[in-house]
Amino acid sequence: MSPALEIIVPLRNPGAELAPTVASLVSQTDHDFSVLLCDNFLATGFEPVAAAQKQIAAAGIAVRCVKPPFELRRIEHWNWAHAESRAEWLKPLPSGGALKPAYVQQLKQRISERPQAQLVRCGLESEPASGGAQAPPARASLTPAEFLEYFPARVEWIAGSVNMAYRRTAWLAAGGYCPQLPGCASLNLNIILALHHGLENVPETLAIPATDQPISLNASDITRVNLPLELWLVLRQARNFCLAAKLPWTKKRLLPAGIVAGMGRRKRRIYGR
Amino acid sequence: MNTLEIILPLRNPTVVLDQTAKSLAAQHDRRFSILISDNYSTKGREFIDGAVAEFQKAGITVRRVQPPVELGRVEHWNWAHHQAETEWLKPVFAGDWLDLEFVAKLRAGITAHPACRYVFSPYVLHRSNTEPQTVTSVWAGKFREPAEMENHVLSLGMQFGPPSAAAYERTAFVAAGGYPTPLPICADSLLFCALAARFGVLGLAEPLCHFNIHDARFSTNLGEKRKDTFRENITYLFMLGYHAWTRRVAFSKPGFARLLARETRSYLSKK
Repeated sequence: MSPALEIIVPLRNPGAELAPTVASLVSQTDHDFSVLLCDNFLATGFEPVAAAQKQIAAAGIAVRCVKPPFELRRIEHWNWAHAESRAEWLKPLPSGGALKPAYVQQLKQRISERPQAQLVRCGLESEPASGGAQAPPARASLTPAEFLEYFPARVEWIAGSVNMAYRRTAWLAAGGYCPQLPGCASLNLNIILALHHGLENVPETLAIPATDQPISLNASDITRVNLPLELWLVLRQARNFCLAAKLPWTKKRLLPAGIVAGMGRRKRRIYGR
Repeated sequence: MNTLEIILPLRNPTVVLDQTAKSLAAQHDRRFSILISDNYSTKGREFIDGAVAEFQKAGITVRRVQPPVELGRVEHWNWAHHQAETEWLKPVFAGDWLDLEFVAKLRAGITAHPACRYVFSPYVLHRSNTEPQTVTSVWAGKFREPAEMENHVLSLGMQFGPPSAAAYERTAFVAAGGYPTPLPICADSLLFCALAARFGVLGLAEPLCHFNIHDARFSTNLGEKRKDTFRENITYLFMLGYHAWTRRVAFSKPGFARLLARETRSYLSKK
């Protein structure tokens, strides 16, 4: 029988940063979930992966390790790893990211309270304590139209993957992360799903992002990203969806001021070598 | 090429499904299975039953699936593709049909080009009250490497035909993120251009697919959605161009500018 929740950890040559990720899984108060470690043709880091698998299994959590048929690029690998899961709920967890011990318990509680939920977000440790204009801390659920009230004034609260969980059907129907948007792939997917299905918001801070670098570039592939341009492309797609779905869209969102507002605290606009 | 599944995403099919089913049941090479995904049809179920009977009579394995909830058009395509577990996937839409040697030629092409992960065929366009029109492609007849296609798609855009003319490896489809749902008109354009630029493309030499713009088809009303189509075209082309920029692909900037200009001119000239 497929598990109800699978936590997906895409791996590419992991180092010491995998340890806190695994420790956070083992320390969950609810162990009724499984873990999928996806190895994208490791060149290094075999020991951390083997140790992770052993540690997770020792905690009584079902764990399996899979590998794509050929080496994939970073976002392609995310997509493939998600598609490998058969669980009803998928939760991506990048190596280096971590979950607070109550994450699984609170996620399951929210899913049981809201059986129609397709997308669940929780608070992220790096967010300013006030929340304010960013996340909707007081709102437990947002309809697609309500989601637009918080977007894209600031997008950071919805831009990551470490604090998101997806119902598998919704993820499959959306197709997954967009490889053409390497800097905003998670943001793009989260927006598509929120505009389709609305969003469940768990206000507690239950996820900790990887802190090594703000944008994780694939050294073998992507060499630079332009975040304002990506955000503009994300917004163009969102606008297209809103027009088709008859959701309230204002043209201001695509103006430069809207893009700058959406960039939020990310002062550095172009990353690359 | 080990296994192939032909995917039929269906929603309220009409009598045009009969011709689709007959063309699949009569394929010379029958080493494939069929997945019928019914997105909560409220009418036309008798045509689905008829198609299933046709496949069973021909000895072709057929499965019927239904998403857990009713999905949007492009969402349903993605969901249906993810239900297949074969190495290769081939979508066919109700009303389109394949020539009898399509599967055989597809299999031969893939065997001859083991690096190939995406194949398309030139096609014949059928519209009511007009003569059928053969639509070929500059890329038909050979396998082209990704390095070549990265540049070409940014100069010529979508030249691959409709989804019914395509087949792709499951891994390639999944990795590419499927059909992008926010671009319902140009979802196939972005996916096919991205697949060709990433994995290369094999263009079959002859037109083996028939693309039928029948009354119940989404494409029938595209003439009334010219502004939407233009907006989506520009978006997907920028996405392709941007992706090439992120990877420092050496592509022709003037060629890309000409492609955008052609799209704009085409839109404005018919406005």
